[in-house]
Amino acid sequence: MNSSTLFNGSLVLYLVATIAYFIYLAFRNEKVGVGATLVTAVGFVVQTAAIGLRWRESYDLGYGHIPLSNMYESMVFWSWSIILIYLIFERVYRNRSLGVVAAPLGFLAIASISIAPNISQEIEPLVPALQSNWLTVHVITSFLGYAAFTISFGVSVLYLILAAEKRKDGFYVVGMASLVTMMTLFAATVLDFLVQTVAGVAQPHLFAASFASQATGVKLVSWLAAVGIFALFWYVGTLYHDRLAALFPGLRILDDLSYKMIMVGFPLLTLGIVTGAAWANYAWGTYWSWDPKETWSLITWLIYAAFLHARFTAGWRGKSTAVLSVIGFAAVVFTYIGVNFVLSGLHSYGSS
Amino acid sequence: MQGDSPPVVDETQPTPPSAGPEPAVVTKPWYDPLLSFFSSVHVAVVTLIILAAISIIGTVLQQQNIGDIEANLRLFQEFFGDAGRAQRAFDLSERIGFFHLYQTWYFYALLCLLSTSLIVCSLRRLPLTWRIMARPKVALEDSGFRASPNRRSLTLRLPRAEAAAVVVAALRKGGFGKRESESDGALYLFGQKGAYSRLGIYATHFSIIMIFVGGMLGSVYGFKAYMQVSEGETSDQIQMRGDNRMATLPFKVRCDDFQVDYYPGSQRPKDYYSRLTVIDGGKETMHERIEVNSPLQYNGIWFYQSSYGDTGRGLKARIHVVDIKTGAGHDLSFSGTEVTEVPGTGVRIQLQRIFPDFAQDEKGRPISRSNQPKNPVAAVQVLLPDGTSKLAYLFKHRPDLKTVAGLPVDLTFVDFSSIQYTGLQVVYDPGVWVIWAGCTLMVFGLWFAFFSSHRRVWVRLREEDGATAVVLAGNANKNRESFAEEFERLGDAIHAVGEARG
Repeated sequence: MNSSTLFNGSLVLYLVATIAYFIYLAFRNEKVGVGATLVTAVGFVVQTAAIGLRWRESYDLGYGHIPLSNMYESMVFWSWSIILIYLIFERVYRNRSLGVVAAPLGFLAIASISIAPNISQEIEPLVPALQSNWLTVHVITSFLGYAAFTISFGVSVLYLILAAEKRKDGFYVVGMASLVTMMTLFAATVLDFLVQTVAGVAQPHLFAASFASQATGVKLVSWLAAVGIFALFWYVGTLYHDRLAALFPGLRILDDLSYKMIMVGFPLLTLGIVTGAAWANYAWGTYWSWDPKETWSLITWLIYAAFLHARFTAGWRGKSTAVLSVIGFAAVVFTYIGVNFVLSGLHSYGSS
Repeated sequence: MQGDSPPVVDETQPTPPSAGPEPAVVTKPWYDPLLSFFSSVHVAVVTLIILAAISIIGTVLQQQNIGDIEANLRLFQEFFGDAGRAQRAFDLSERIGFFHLYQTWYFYALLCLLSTSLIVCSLRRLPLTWRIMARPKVALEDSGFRASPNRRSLTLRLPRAEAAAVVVAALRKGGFGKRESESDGALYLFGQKGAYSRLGIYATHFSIIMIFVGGMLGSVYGFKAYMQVSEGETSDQIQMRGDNRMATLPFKVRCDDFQVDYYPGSQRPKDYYSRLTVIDGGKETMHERIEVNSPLQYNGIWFYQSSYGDTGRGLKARIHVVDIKTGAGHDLSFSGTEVTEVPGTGVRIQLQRIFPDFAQDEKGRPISRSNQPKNPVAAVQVLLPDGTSKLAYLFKHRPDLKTVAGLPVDLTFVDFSSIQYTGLQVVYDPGVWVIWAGCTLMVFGLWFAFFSSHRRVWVRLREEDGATAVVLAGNANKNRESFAEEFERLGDAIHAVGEARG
């Protein structure tokens, strides 16, 4: 039994939980609801154990460190944080309907990083710069913040889809596009996995089997498929609008939950940035060097600050703030993943 | 309406009795539109968005303090496809400051705009907030009681003074401070807690200004420099980052030792550290071992372990030599290029050169790619008894690899060392404590602004036929659900005590 087995176990449990939450939502069966929460909680415990075991395994290898140091470990921690914040939230608000938003997001995070062909899952020794307690505080606060923003994003996408009355509504388009983008990205990751593992063809980089393929034909088909799926969902979404809306808590509650998550995430992100600056100052003597990662984390912070001002001071509500939450999350994803793969700098620990 | 003069009143005519009072003309000060502009939330949000957008440019184009700006030329070439347009785009970008974006006048101007907006907004809203906190209205009108989101009416069968005591005790128990006033036959009580939470948002905004000030202090009065000290040597020379000019420290730093530890079986550095001694006024005043994440601080100047390298001097190598005929092994040490005889063989060996990171260039010539010992190779001249000599390359990581065949001795490159130098980042930043104070204030400010609530309770007690009618009202500016519960409990407590006593 090693940490990999346990991680795969938690992955499966989150998938089961996702299905259970959907069934709960469709049939409003309390027993299924309790089951869904239970499966999520068990998955969470298993994932916690996996993280602990991986920590122990690093010591067995001779270069012990807390498992927060590379893309794999941080993504797994992000998944863990999403589930943690969701479970607390479910308890405090005594409401299970958002399980369909949180469980799949937690599942997606750990599933995609587990199958992505170019992400090393090895326990690596830390370079001297990473050997610091600041690493722990900085990564934990940042990712807990990201997790809160992720849940807010999920709720906001739901809001944008449910609040729409007409297909032409720009907000509806944004919401549906966000949903379809997440689904397509996951499908592309699964495709990479299948092509590499089942068909045995090595994938040189992310999405090489679809959107980033060398073959123009494959690329074209991928884009067409994505647009097609979007068109389908966009069209059908409004047809089932009332049925969907009945499954979830009211719009005002969704709006409320979305901003409350940002109120949790914003101080955490602030702490993440501050501890990052403190660490940088202690390691290199510069608390801020406008490195792309630092700058993008500030951009994310500014977007959520704009959200808070829009809501609290300018009285924005509903769809407008939901869109800001979606834009904020796009910035979170770019800060975490985009910077490592698209830009270069201090933080590029993503392989490519 | 500024600049209007007050209406001229013709004093010779009596004012008609039916006319109402003259409307007051308020002369607004000249800076009023400016104030309105800066205290507008929309202006603040737009400034934040512009700042965010401009910052993005600086992450896509490499900045000169941390990257290689020539890479931007390549980026433009990829984007435009045309070398001429790429060059023009590059030159234009350089001129308008895109390669040092965060130090341009317009970036600073945006930061100033944001600061002004923060200051003006805060100063405009603070008086009202202060009034709410410090001078609350105790005698709430009836309409206030009726409009309150939380309200309760009770009758306590007690005289008013006793009823008041019950209420005050309940308020005290709930942690509410108390004020009272008497007006038109009724006693009014007021309690509040968490009033200071209203300052949270001002603390957060002020902390941003503090951070800007800290940054300015550091840029203007501080410096960042680089220093290189070889093992055993002392230096006080530092090279300023940016303009690269040399400067002298008011004290000397000596590197007593530099070490790199590798993870077993790999070339990955596990740890690298220097032992430094500070010599001030001729006396050794500090000895410290520094490594990455553990700097040395002396007189406000910080020394950070930044890099290291090989000076190429003081070369020492160990080679294990085995006499093929007799099987006798010898561990030989080499210093520099001296010639050493292998005992009992008549063979002499001379160390020519060590390549820490051996590779071959495009012409097949041996070079070292870097100073890091990633692939150490020793080039040794083997002087045979018959007078000929052969040049052999010994690979530390590949002892099996023999570049010359037929030698009477088997050579293995064991290890080598040379004088290392330690690369230190030297920093003086008088603004850094202001930054940390600002950050701490920001975190506390956010906590109070988001999670701490200003809760207020108003009570009116009116004596009616020997009993007292008690009306309660309360509100909170955050966490209203939990306050509603607290208000319920307060009312219940008063009712219970009242019943027990009356």
